[in-house]
Amino acid sequence: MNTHLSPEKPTRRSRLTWLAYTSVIPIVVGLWAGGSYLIDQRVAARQLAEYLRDHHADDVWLEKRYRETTETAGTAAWSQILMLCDTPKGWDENQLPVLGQGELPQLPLKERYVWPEEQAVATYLDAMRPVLDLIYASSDVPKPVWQPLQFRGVNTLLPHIQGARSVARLLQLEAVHASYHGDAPRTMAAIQGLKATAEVFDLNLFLVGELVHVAMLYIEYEVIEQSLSAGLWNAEQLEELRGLLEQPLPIAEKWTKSFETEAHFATSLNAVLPGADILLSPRDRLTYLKQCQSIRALGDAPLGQLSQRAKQWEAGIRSAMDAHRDWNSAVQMAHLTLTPAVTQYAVALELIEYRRRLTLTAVALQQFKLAKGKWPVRLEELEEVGLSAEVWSIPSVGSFELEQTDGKVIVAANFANYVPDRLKPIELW
Amino acid sequence: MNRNLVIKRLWWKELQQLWPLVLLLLIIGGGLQALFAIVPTSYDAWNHTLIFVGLPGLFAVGAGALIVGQEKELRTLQWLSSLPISAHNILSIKLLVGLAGLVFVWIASWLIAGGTGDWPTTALRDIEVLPFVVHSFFVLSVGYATAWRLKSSFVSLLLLIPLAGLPLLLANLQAFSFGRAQQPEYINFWMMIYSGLFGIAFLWWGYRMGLRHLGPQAGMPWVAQASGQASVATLPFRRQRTTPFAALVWQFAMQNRVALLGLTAVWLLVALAASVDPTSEQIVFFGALVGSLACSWLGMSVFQSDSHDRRAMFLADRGVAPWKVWVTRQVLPLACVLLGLGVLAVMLPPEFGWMNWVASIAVALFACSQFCAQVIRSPIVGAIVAPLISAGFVYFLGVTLIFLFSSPWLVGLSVAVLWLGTLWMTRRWMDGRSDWRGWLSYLGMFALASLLPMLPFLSFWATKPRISSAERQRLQLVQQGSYTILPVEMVDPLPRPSEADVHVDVQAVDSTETGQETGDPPPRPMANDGDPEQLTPFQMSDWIERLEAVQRQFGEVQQGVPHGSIQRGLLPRLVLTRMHLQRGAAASPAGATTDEAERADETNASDETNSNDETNSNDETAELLRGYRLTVEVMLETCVRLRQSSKLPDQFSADHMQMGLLAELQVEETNAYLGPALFERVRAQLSDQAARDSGRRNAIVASWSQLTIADVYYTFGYTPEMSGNPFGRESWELWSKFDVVASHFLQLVDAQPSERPALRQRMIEQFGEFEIFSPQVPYLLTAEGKMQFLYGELSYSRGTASAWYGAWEQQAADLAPSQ
Repeated sequence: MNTHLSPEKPTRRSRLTWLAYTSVIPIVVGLWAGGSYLIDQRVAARQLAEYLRDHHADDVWLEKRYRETTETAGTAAWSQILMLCDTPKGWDENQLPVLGQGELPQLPLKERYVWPEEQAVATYLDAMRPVLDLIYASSDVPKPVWQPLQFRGVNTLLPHIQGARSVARLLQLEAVHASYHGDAPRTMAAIQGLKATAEVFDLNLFLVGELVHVAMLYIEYEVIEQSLSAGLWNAEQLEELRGLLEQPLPIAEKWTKSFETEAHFATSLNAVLPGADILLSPRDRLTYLKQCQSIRALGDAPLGQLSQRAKQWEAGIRSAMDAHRDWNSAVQMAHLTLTPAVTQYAVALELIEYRRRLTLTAVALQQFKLAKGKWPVRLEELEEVGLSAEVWSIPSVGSFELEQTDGKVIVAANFANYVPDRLKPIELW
Repeated sequence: MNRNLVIKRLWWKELQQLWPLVLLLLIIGGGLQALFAIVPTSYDAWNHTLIFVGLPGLFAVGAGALIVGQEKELRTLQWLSSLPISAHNILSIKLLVGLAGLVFVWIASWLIAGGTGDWPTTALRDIEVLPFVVHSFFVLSVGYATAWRLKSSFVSLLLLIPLAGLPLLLANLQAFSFGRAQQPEYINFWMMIYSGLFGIAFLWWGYRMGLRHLGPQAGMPWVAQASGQASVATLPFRRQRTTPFAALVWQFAMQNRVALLGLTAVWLLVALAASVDPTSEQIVFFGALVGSLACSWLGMSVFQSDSHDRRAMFLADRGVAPWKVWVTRQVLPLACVLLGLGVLAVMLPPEFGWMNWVASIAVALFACSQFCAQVIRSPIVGAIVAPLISAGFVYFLGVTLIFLFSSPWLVGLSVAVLWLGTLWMTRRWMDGRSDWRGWLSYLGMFALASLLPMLPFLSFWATKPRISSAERQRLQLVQQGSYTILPVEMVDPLPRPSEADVHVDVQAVDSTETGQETGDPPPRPMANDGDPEQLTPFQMSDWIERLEAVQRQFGEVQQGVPHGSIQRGLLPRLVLTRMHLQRGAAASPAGATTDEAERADETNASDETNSNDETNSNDETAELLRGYRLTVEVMLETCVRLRQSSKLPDQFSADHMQMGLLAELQVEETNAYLGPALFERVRAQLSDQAARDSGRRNAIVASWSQLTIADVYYTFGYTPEMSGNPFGRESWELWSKFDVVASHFLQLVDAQPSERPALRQRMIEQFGEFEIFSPQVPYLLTAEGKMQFLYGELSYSRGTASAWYGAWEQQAADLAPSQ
C-alpha cells in the first residue's frame, strides 16, 4: 500500500460540520422554504375556495341583486329615451354647448347678453322636443329602472349607465336655454327631469354607476345655480327647489354597496390581468380579495373623513407592497386597478354632498332676498328662512363663506384639499 | 508514411469527432426554431435570431474542447504524437476542421432559420450579423488555446465564459472613455475589431501551446507538477473515510472543486449584477443566459466527472450502493444552485417578485441537465448540448403551463420524473452498460416527463366539443352553393363642416351693440330658414337632403350600404320623426294628421308628374312625413343589401333594423304615416322569413370557411375572452368551438320552430355563458300583456344570433299577407 496516500483520519465532528456547511444546510433551507411555500399556497387555495363560496362571488348573485333592487315599469320608455339620446342621429352635435364644443352663455343668464350658439340650440331642442316630453312623462315611474344587463364579472358592460349622461346633457341644455329666455316653468321641468333621470339610473350597485350618478347630480346642482342667476323664481318655486335639494346623499350606503360589487368583480381578476390565474398564487389572490373587502368598512366615516380614511387605506396598501417581499408586479398591477379609485371615489362623494349644501344655501339666500328685499350679511341670518347652520357648517372641514360685492353676493366653500373647480363659488345677483 | 494519406486520415478523424456535435446542434436548433414557429410568442423575431446566431456560437464554444480537450482526456493525443506525423500537421488540421465546421454551422443555421418560414425576421434586419461571425471565430480561437493550455477540457469551457466577453468589455470601455457609450454601432464595430485581433492572437498562442504539448518535453500539467499532488481519481484512497457517505461527497467535491467553485462564483456574479439594476434589459438578458448556463452545468457536473476514467465503474466494483452514489452526486451541485438562488433572493430589491419563477426554472434546468449528464457520456458534447436540451425542455414546460393550461403540479411531477429516472438508472450507468434497453429506458422516461404536463391538454383534445364528419360535410355542401358578397360602406354624401353654419360672427358684433352698457337687448342672431346653404343639421330638410343623396348612391354603388353615421342614425331619426308627427297630431284637431298623410299620399302619387311639389311645400307635417317615408325606404334597401352580405355581423345589423321597423308597425298611426304602398313594402320584407334564412345560411358557411382567429370578430361578430395568449390551447378551443357554433347555427336555421329552443339550450349547456346564445337579454319585454321593444338593446351589439327566431321574428312572420 502506498503510505504516501494513506489518509489522515478526520474527526467525526469535523466531517459533520463540513458536510453541514457545504451541503445539508442549503438543501434543508431550500426544502424548508419550498415546502413552506407549497403548504402556504395549499392552505390559501382552500381559504380562497371558502371565501368565494361564502361571498357568492358570481354573476348570478349580481343578477339577482340587480333584479331585486330595480323596477321594470319604466324599462321600455327609458330604453327608448336612451336610444334617442345616446345613438348618433346623423347630425353633428359638436357645435352645441354641453353636447359638443359650443359655449354656454355667460352668467347671469339674461337674454340681453349675446349667446352665439342660441339659434343652433333652439333648433336642436325643437328637434328633440318629443324626447323631452317623453322624459317628463316617464319621470314618475318606480325607480331605479331595470335595463337589460349581461353580468360578466369585471367585464360587465354598463351601456345604459354610460348612456344616462346623454339624457342629463340634453336636459341641462334645455334648462340653460329656458333660463336664458326667462322661462321658469320650462326650467323647472328640466330640473325635475334631471332629478328623475339621476334616480332612474341610481342603481347603488357599481362604482362606475355611482360616479355617473354623482356626475348627474353635479349637472342638476349646476343648472339650479345657473337658474338662480337668471332671477326666475318666485317664492313658491324656490321652495320647490329647496325640496329637491333637501335629501342628503346616503354616502355610507353607496360606498358599502358599490364596493361590495367591486369585491365580487375582483374575483374575476383574470379578465383584467390576462394570465393572473397563473401568475398570481392563491395567497396573492386571497390577499387581494380581502383587501377589496376591507375597503367596505371605510364607508361609515363621518362626512369629511371618508377621503382621509381612503387615503390612509391606500397608503397602507402601498407600504405593504413595499415591505412584503412576496408582492410581485402582477399583484401591484391588480392593486393599481383599484387603489387610485378609492380615494377619488371618496372625494367625489364628499364633494357632491358639499356641493348640494352649497346649492341649498344659495337657494336659501335667494329666498331671503325675496322675503327681505336685501342679501343677508351673515349666513346665520338664513335661519329666518329655515336653513339651519348644520347645512353650511361641517365639523372638522369648515364653513361656507358669504361675501357681498358690486351688488352681488357670493357664497363659497373654501375648503382645503379639494379641487376648486368642483366646488366653485356661487354668485347671485 | 505517405503525407497525403496522413492528412486525409487526420481530416477524416477530426471530422468524425466533430460531426456528432454539429448534428446535435442542428437538430436542437431546428427543433427550437420549429417550436418558436409553431408556438409563437411576442418575442418571436428575437427568438429566431437568437437561435440563428446562437448555434454557431455554441459550436465555437465546444469545438476546441471537443477536438483537443477530449483527445487529451482520452490520451489519444499521446498516441498521436508518438506517430511519425508532424505536430504542425496535427495542429493545422485540427484548426482547419474547426474553422470549416464553423462556416458549415453558420450556413446550416441560416438555412434552418429560413426553413422555419420566419426569415428574414425584423430582429435580424435590426442587428448586424458580421460582429457575431467574427466573435464566433474569436471564441473558437480561445477555445482551442484554452483546450491546449489546460488539462481539463471542462475547466477550459468554464474559462471561456469570462474570456468570451473580453472584446465586448474592451469595446465598451473604449466607448465609455471616448464618450460614445450610447452609440451601439461604434461598440459593435470595435467589438468586431477586438474579436478579430484577439482571435488571431489566441490562435497564435494556442498553436504554440499545441506545439509545446505535442513536443517531447510534454509531461504532467504544471498544476500537478507544482503541487506534487496526485490526480483527483486517487483522492478517495488518499482520504479514506470511515463514513462512505461523507467520503463519497468528499471525493465528488475534490474531483469537481474547480467546476463547483467556478459555477457558484458565476451565480454570485449574476446576483451582484442583478442587484445593480434588475430592470436593465442587458443585465436581465445576460443574467438569465449566464445563470441558466451555470444551473445547467451544475446539473451536468452531477454525473459528468464520474463518466470518464471509469470512475463510476470503480465505485460499482467496490459495491457502493447506486442510491448512495446518486445522492452524493446530487447534493453538492444542488446545494450550489440553492445557495445561488438564496443569494439572488437577498440581493434583488423587494419589488422584484418573480423569485418563485426564477427558482422553478433553475431547478428544472438542473434536473434536466443531470438527466442529460447521465445519458450523454461525453462530457464535452454534454456540456454543449445539455444547456440547449434543458432550455428547450424548460421552454416546453412553460408552454404547457401557460399556453396549454397544464397544472403546476404536473409540471413539478415531470421534473421529478427526470430525477427519479437518473436514480433508477444509476446502477446501469455505474456498470457502464450502454445497450438498447438502457437507451429505451432513458427515452421512455424523457417521454413520460414530456407527456405528463401535456395530460390536461390531451384530455381536452380528447373530450373537446367537435362536429361529426357528417356535420362537416353538410357545412361544406352548403358552402359549395354559397356566394361571397361584402357590402361597401359608402362615403358620407353630404359631409358637413364641424362648425355651425348658423354661428353669429362674434367679432363683427360691436361691443356697444351687446347691450351690456346700455341695458338694451343686443341684436339676436337671425334665423336662416329657407336658405339651403345655411340649414342646421337638426332640421328635417337637412335629413331629407342626406337621404336623397344616399338613394342616389344606391343607384351608383351596387353593393353599397349607407355611411356609418347615417346608418346608425336611421332608427333614431325614424322614431323621432314619428314622435314629431304624433306630437303635431296631438296639438292639432282630431284627424288632422291622417288628413295630412292622405294629402301627402296624393302628393306622392303625383310625384311622377311634378316631383318638386312636396319639396317646395312649407307644410311642416308634409316635410315630416316625407322624411319619415324616406327613412323607411332607405332602411328597407339597406336591409336588403345587408341580408346579402357574407358577414354574420351584417345579418345582425339587418336583424336590428328589421326589429326597429317592426317596432314602428306597433304604433297605431304608422299605417297612415307610411301610406298603403310603403306599408305593404315594409310588411312584405318583414314577413319574408325565407330571405332572412337564406341570408343567414349563406353568411354562416361563408364566415365558417373564412374564419381565422385574428378576425373572429369580423366573421362571427364575436370578441373572444382570452387570457392573453392568442396562440395556445385557447385558439384551438376557439377553432373547435366555431366549428360547432357554425354547425349549430346552420341547424338552427334549418330546424323546425319547435326544435329551436332545444338547440339553443344545447349550445348553452356546451359553452356555458357563451355570448352568442346569451339567453339573458330579451329583445321584447312582456309588460301587462303588451309587447314592448327595448330600443337600447338595438344600440349595443350582442351576440350574432341572439336575436334569431326570437318572439319578434314570429311577430314579423305573422305579417305575411296570407295571414
